[in-house]
Amino acid sequence: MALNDDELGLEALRAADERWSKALPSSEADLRIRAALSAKRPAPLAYKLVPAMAFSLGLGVALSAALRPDPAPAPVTTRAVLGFQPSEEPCSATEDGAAIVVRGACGYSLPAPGLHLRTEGLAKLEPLPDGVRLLRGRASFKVDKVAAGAPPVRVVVQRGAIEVLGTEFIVLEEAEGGQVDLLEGRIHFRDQSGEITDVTPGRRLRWNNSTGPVIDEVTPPADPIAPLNASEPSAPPARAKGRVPAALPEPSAPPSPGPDDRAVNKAAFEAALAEVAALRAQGRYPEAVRALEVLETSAAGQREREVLGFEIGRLLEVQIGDRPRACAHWTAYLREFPAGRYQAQVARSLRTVCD
Amino acid sequence: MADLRKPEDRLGVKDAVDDVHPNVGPIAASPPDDAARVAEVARLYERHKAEVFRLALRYGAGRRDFAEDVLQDVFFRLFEALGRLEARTDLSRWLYRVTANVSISRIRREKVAAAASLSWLFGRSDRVQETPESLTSAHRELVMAEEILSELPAKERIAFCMHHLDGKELLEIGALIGHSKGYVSKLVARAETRVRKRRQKWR
Repeated sequence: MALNDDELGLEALRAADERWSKALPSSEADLRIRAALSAKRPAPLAYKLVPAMAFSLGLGVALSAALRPDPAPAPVTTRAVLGFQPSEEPCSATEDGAAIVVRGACGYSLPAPGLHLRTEGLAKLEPLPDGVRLLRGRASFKVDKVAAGAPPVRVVVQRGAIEVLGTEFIVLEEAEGGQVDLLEGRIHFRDQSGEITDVTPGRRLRWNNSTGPVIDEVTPPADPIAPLNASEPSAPPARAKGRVPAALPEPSAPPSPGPDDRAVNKAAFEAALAEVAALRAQGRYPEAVRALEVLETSAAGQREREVLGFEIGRLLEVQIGDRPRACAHWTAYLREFPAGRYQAQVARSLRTVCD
Repeated sequence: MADLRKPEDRLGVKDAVDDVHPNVGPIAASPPDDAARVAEVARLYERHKAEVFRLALRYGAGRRDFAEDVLQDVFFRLFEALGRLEARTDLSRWLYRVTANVSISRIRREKVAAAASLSWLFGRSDRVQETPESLTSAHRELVMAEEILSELPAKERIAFCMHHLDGKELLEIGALIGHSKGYVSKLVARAETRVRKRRQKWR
């Protein structure tokens, strides 16, 4: 039977496709991808695939035998196990000595260190006084902000520990090695010799067990914000880690800049954005918001204002958690960009923070 | 001048990188070293990210997280393939094909690990959960499109989009995703049936 456009919803599909054609990756994702590409390491893709395949084909068999206690205790679905408080149902976890073995997607919290985690597939975890040991599997972590001066929360893996001061990150631990992707905040990795490697947002740090305690790090470019298509080899001045922005652009833009002026403004704009990224990496979110607001007032283009406004809203909503301010910001934002690229996310945020 | 080879000959292997096209592509000839490859991929990323992202959003049924992951994977593949691509390669076509295949793999992987949503943890669901009151006409269309696409299995989704949104012929789709014309015809037909049933439920 011939199907017409309406039966197939093609009109809606075409309309959606038209909207998607105007979309771009978020600035965070864009930065992350550019940094990964600049690190000239296509390995992360393969790295993600290899353990997945090995896990399912070979290790899965061995693990299922190794992890199965004999006799098998009944799965626990609702109660706390070894201090792990279930935060989502249904969950299936079994005790295995000092550790728990979780199958499937489960959410748990360890209230004492303020650590929340979600497993994917088979994972084995051991609670620690200051965090958790990930013995096997993949898990996402969110750590409550650590009070100033307090010791960091630790996620211990075979080759070291990820020390956290309040952040969001994903850890994969396999027989061959592991990795951590930092989404937000700041962590560092302390290997078995005590050597520390800092990880900043958008970076992945990997370790490989077969070649010993080697930290295999995907390093971002010296200037992750600089335009990657710049033909000039000279990069903008490298930013010292944690440097406070010396001078953000003042809110004054020439009415109609020439090509050279635009280039200068773009460079200044990107440099200022990089400073904002540094502030974010240090967890100095209110300062990052203020810097973004200054940038926003000096941004000549609608696209820049749209992106900056979105970043401000995300900081207010997610990192700072100032719901009234986030609500006001998103309301004004949606008025200014009613059909913007972030419309869907902003609409969702509005419902979340304004309720 | 048209390329007289059959699409299958040019694109028979899913991730083949030898699809020379008469249009002069924007790829620099044989970047000599890693640094040059990095620079070249970075340049191509800036130039082509929008088109790849658009396709990935479509195949991900509007999910930004999916699209961003696909975008990264596609350009990693480009990095790996760059030395083997000819200067005359039609890069847009290459990216079109690789985006489709990367999306198929990712959709399948997600199905296997269906419970692996991180949105629970971070409170981030890029798929908007609309309430009836909040649905404007434009939003309704978007939500409908997302639901239509997310109903479809990986290959059906890609074949359906290529056929109905991009106007690709079945033979060409087969060449792009590595299947015969007959199989693609089945994929599209199955997708149409699913969509029609879904649409009937809404009415």
